Amino acid sequence: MNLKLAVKIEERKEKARKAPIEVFPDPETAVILTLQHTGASNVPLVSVGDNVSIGQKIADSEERISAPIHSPVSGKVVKIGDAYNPCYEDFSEAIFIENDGKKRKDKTLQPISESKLKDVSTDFLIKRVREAGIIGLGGAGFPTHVKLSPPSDKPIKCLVVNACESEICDTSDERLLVEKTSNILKGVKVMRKVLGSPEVVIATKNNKIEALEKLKEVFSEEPDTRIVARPFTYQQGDAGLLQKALFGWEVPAGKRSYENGVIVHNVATINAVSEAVFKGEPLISRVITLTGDIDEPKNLLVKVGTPVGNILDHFKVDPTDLRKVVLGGVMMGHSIPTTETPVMKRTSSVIVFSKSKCNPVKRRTDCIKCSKCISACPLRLYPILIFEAMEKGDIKRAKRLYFDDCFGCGICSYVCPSGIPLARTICGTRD
Amino acid sequence: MIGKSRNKENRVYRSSLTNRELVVEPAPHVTSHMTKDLLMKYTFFSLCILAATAIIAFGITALIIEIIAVIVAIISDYLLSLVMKNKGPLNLYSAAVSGLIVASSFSSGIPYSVEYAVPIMDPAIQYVAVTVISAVTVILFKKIQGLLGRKYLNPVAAAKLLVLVPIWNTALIPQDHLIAAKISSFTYLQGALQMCYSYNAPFKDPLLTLIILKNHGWLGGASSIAVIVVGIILLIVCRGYLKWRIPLTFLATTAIISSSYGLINGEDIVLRVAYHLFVGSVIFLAFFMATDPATTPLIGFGQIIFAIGLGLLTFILQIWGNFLGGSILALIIMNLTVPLLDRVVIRKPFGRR
Repeated sequence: MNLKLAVKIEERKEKARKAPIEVFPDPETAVILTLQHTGASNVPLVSVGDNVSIGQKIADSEERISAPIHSPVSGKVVKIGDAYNPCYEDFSEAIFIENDGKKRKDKTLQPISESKLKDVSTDFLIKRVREAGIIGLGGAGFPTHVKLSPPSDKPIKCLVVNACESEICDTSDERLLVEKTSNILKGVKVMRKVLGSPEVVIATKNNKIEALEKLKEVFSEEPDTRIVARPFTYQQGDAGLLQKALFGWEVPAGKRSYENGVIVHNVATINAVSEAVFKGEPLISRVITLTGDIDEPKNLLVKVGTPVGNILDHFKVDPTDLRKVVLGGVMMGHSIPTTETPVMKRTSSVIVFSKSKCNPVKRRTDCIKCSKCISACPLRLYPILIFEAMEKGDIKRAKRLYFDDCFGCGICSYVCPSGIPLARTICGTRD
Repeated sequence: MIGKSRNKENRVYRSSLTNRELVVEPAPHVTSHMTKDLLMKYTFFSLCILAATAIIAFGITALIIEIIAVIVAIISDYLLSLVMKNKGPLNLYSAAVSGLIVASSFSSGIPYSVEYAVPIMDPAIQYVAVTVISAVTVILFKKIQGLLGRKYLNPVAAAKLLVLVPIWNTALIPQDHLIAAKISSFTYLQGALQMCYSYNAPFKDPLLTLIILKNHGWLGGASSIAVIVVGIILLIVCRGYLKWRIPLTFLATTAIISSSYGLINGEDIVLRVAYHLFVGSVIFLAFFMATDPATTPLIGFGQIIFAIGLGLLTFILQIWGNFLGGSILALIIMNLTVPLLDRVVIRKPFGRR
């Protein structure tokens, strides 16, 4: 993809990127979805009436591609029922835990001191990452321990730390870079140990000035580390396209990126790995950005399982003026039908669209065949042709046009002057 | 994978959870500023500049033709939208653009010099012709053709051909072209240029006339340089939304063929190329009719084939058909190939090379 011709989207991050991370109070009732990652579904390990403590494992699966779920609060399981799962756009199983406020901690995961890192085995670290329930926090939600154990015949030469945070409006990763830089350094050390000391490339946007300064300062003594700051576009936040931008090759379709000896991890994931190893904390909280049509955007450290409604109420978002709430980014996120929806591990932001400030939606009209979607697609697909084939129900032709390759970046819908839901149709049919 | 409601209790809970006041919309939740209407607005204002150059070159008649064309187009669009309701929604800017293109592609058919050869087309007849073309464009080729689900023919070009074929000799191909025109012969070309283009024009040099301001031929192409500048600005402002490959390839093809033709016949190549490039019907069509999104190929490769075909056909019609507005016939012919060209999918997706 030609960088100069790529669609550029206004980032709208000015206010949010200056807001320091605030710790959000624990919810009274935590709603923890049992399926938060991409892969096999989990089975609850607790039943109604059980007492749980912070960090206790409450759901797990035997499958390899899975990650356990932990309780973010201490208290009593009051219900195992359904809650809205934004990533699958349907209701799915959730565990409801009433917070007793006692903050009892589960001590299964023992912290390791930094000096002891070289003594522990790789397998121990991979197991720790799995037991801490760490998944890709950039949005894809792929279990991290699977990515950390590539086949032995494919050595990893390069670890890419994806700190581009290209999603519009989101600043949670940027605040992590500024405030938790040393944590990230420790996380990178763990990853390097696991992957056999590959070269490290930290890719970030050159407009994250504060974060960039911190990175340069903290990583100055780390060997074999490059910090690449470029004006990456929105689409290049994707792992495959980022590799193309950094190294110039294209990951063969349908293959994982370790074919080329490269592995890409999100910066928030690396922070979580560091917390799991050195603090013994499973993934029970994450930084999210509360932004959109509100006066003061916030970056919040929120417990997984906090209902979105709690966050909106706490910051006094007028419920009568609420039009739409989007979880996980403006471009790829999902709008939710109810504010009871809990924050997931993968939720990077909560974006509020108010009735009074929201721009009107484009009126859906007939395609004028401007071919903008074709020139905009970062994967060189033909969105409108796939769309037409699908409208006719011609899945064979859609397959010939490789609609499976689409990762749903949403650029085609974004640029469409006729307001056609191209990305939705192409990606939605596949699931 | 996705948990379904397993029992009755859950279903009750589910409905109480759903807050019906929140809107659920598919991602992405932002869109670009560009809409169909905005695209039409930009095109309309660019055409207004060209309409002004036509008034400078052709005088008050051009102004009246333009006003008639736009008003008739808007009225037809409005009336039809009342009849067709959802199937043909009101689209005023689009109609206004069509109206202006009708006016711009209209040729008064008045070679100022050769009054003895051609009866000057009576302004009254011109106004009637424009009214009919404008109405046919909107009613038949925009709205009714739109019902087919895909527009096959460029509305303006199709309407102009349909309406003017009965008066072929005077309006579509001015009679002097039929009597004396041998564009293929250079001596004629030179003489014709001298006579038709330089008689009342501000410049005596045919080359300058062709490029800067001419008062013969299509209204929209009165000033080639204005068409090029306005066209390029429009392509840049609406980058990605208009098909820049078509005018570029069309003009390049025309330049290559005409220069080789001139070379073979040992003519003055500059004048030959200038004539084929800057005559109003070519330069205006290249930027404002051949880039009509709906009737041109979607894929870059198809656009290039389309434009090469357009250039070749236009040249053939001009040289051997003496049809000096021949580009619209070429456009209609090439429009018919678009559904085929749209099926040619050549680029390989990411990671499949």
